[in-house]
Amino acid sequence: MNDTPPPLRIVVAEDDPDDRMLLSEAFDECGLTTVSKEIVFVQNGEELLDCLRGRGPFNKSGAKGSSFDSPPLVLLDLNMPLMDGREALRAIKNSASLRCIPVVVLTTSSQEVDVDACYEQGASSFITKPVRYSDLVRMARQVKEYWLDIVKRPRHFDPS
Amino acid sequence: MSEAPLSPGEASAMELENIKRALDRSAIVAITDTRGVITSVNDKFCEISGYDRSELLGCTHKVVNSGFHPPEFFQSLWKTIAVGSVWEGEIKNRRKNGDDYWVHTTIVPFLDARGKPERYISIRFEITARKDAEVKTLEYARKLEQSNRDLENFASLAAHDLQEPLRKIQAFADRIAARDAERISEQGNVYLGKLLDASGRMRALISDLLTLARVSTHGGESKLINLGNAVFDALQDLELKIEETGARVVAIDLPEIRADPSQVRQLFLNLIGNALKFRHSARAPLIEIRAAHDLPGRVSVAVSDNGIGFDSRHADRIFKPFQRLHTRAEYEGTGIGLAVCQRIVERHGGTIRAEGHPHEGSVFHFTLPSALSPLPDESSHFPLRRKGSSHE
Repeated sequence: MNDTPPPLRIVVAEDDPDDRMLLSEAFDECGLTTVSKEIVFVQNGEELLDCLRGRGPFNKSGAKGSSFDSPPLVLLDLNMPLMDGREALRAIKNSASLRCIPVVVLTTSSQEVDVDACYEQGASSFITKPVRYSDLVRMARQVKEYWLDIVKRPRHFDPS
Repeated sequence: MSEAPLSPGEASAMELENIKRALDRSAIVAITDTRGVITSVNDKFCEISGYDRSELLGCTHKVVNSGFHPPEFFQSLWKTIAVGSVWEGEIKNRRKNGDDYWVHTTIVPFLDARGKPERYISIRFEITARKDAEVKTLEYARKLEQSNRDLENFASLAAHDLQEPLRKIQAFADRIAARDAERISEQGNVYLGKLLDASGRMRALISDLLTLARVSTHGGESKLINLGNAVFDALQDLELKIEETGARVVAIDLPEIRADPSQVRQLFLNLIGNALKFRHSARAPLIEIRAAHDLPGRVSVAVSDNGIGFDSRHADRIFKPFQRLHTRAEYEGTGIGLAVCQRIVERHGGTIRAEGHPHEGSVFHFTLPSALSPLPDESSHFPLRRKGSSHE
């Protein structure tokens, strides 16, 4: 029973509806759909935090606490209105409970972004959103497989 | 006129009288004792300061103090003349009616037999108009700088916003091509391909314009760096190309300079990259980089190659953004590299020029601040600020 890995959970914070649509289609092709709730799309930093903490519109059951039983992976677009991506990243990494969540930062152009600052703020990885759809799908697949690897890892590590 | 000739004594007395009269007409003259008490002033002093002679004699120059200079300024002045040295400088004084005026002042101590000052004579010329013009010019230059900065920021903001819709065009054109290729006619697919090409090109152009603007808006601080190291860094990025083409890069005696390290790296990246790109098909590229200290405060650098060269008619054109001498089919690139080089060199107070020898090669000459050059404060470019006399 403990063999079944917890379900894959990826939260994508992306404000642009066109990019949301493209990302959604790309992950669809990798078999990750919003229907199965394996992937969740939020529109801004505040919604992201609500989702991660199981607050507000994400508190469906009325009970306290997050709907995630294990930390999800967060894909975070840096340029978002209403608490922009950088602030959201800072909020997550400064929170004792949320700090463990890996955050992959997405950006449209590497020219405008201070990559070092992102890593310093605690980002796990940094991806420039590919323009070509095939590259986007490949990126989605890589993210999914990376995360699948992580969630499959045993909860306890006993090297002896 | 026939008169009896003057005796030597009378002649020199008259000569002195003439000189004194000339001096009194042209300059503001005052004589003080060793304590600074005014013992004599000429008419011009009264005219400019607005005080009568009676109001000046027996007083010190505090009478015309404007309060502009700190006490240290006058302390230093007195220290200089008290030991018998001449003091020269610019002083802001105040007229009787409260208006301020600037004078260029020379104070000469008259020494007694023992070599100690017994009197001081100060000779002044009014320079208020010039000073005012200076202040105005500085202010204007500052405004111009700010306006330029605003323009650059606007350009870079606009470029960024322009890229967004282009990215979408590319992304969705590609999406259609991927998903519906079979359902679209062959010609339709060709059009899609052109759509993708064109939008990709435009994105590259805007990105390059951004790069160009950022030379000015995102420039870093100048530091003391070794020119050789900057070249070496650039070569790291070009390693693959250098290997591919069998190129040799020779750097001779590159000295220390004072410049923005990442921009200098970019400068050489572009120049050497070009040299590799426009290599001659019949021989391996040989690129030489030489430096010389032939101008005060500057290092002259020459980057030469044995590539295809160019017609010297185009020597000026090639530095303009997007001016290319070849078609896209012949050589890739948007034509912004040399414009970036020019802007980097100019930002460091220098100029760049090119020499082309068709089928033989090219040489690029430019200057950079030497290690001994003054700090950016005093150069004629960025930023414009005067050391020393503050105007606040």
